[in-house]
Amino acid sequence: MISKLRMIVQFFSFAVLNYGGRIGINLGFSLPCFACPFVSGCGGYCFLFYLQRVGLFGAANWSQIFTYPGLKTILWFILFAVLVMLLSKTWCGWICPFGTMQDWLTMLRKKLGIREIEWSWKTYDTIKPLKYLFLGVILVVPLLIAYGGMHQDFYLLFCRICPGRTLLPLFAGQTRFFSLDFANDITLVISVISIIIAAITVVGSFFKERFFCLFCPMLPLIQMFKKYSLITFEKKVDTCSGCGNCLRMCPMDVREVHEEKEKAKVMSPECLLCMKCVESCPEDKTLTIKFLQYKIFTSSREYITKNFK
Amino acid sequence: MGKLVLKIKTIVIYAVLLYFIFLQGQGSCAQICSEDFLWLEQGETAMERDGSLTQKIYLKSNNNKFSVDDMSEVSVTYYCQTRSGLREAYILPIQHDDGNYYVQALAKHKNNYCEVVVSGYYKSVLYTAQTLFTLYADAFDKNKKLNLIESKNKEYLPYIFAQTKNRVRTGQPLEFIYKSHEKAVADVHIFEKEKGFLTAMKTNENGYFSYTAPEDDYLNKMGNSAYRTLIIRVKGKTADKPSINTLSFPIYRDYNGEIDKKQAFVLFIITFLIAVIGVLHYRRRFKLK
Repeated sequence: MISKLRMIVQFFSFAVLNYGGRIGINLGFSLPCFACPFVSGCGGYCFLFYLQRVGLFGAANWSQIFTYPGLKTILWFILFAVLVMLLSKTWCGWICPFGTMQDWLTMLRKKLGIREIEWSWKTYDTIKPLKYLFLGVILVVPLLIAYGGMHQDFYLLFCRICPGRTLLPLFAGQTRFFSLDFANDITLVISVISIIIAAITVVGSFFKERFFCLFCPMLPLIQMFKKYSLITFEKKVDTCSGCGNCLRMCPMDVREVHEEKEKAKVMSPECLLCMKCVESCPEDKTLTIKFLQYKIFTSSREYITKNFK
Repeated sequence: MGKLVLKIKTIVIYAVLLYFIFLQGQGSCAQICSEDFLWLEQGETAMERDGSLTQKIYLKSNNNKFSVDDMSEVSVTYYCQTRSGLREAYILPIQHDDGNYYVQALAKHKNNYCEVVVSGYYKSVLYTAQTLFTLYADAFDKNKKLNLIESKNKEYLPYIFAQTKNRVRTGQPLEFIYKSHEKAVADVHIFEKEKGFLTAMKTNENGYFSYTAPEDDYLNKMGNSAYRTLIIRVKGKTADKPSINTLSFPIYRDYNGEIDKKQAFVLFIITFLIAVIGVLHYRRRFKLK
């Protein structure tokens, strides 16, 4: 039931964020998900785009920082924090249009009966830091362009290699970003990298559920507000039977939920709050998603018997 | 011997031809470039505390032969139109600083399509200069009235009408209509601030002419916000008096001209296949372990 509800929410979010602008929807610059601003007629903008445009707290636009637009920049940052605290990783698992696109590829693979690729823990541990590298690029490049004399063609560098920018506009019939740009060496190298990343993401997402999310720099940004998040993910360690269903069902292969033996709060940086682990947990009230003190969804044997035949 | 004479004759003929072509070119350029005209150069922008944006527009004459002080009946009108269609027109005062004459255009809204039109007489010739630019402001109070006199001029003649409202780019065919009191063929000369005289053409009887700025290596190398200043000069007549009119605007590198979708598709397919082979190979290896 939760999976179906998630699918409906994802479909609705995809429609709003990819096409909403065509009917006048504008959700602003602070969205903590890959709502691609390069899609013509999008309904909102990915916060990473804004972060690159103005730098951290508007530091790349220093001359404007004490003006009304500078104040608005700070407000967009505050709004981002509020949205993250309000919905936490639900942005990734339920709302992100690029995540939805990846889930559609996974559905296609399942329909075709192709098995998911399995990775060793060593591989996971090797690729985990890549998202921090991308986050570093997002934070440093705007400052280097503004004050370090970096070439202007590095502007919005992460956006320009992001597979979301290459693939999501295709859903709106735009092929402009699915191209190689021969204007100069920098644009050519960046466009070649973007096409290669897009192709690897399509193949990766087909064979591995939520492949690109493993590298997504939005995850660590959202994780920064974990302490203040209104949504919490809790585990009763004493009632866990250690069956491993949570690990098997997790699209991100998060080990922490299964392995945690002491702490109650188990939301890891990679968790997408898709709730598949809670759905598949056979122990009553062992895994629980809460909004403030209110339980949104909790594991139960009854749910399993009803929904998994 | 006969062949040698023929070769020498051919070389001499070509040399004479080249000499004449060179002289002719020099002559026409020298003549065109030395003719007076008034034009507008876009200066720096500054964001005000309240989020409104000011843009300096410098009034310049070709070769600095005359200045605003030498002209009579000088007027400066500033038009500003938002994307939603809101249109405002003001008369701007001319300011003077370090030997430069300039006006300051101001915008309050997001996405403004702006134009400054200057006109005045010098030695009984009507000089007009127009410039087009876009301003992106975000003022706190967008309805605040500016401290400027509103202009009631709805139509300005002579006028070079440009059929574009976006950033002008190289490789993009630009269409113009020169409107004046008289319908006649007029001479058009196109200059670049950085390169000087580029080309000459004529309008048709309705004043229509078009120009496509060629690809520019400098702009391609320098990035998306680098620009050159294009100046279009039209020589016409207004009420039996000669008029020299210019339209200037920044020209940016072509956004779509250097892109190749086919090669991108080929690269995508190749990477896709390599990735699939890699996955299958990895899966087989993983299984065997």
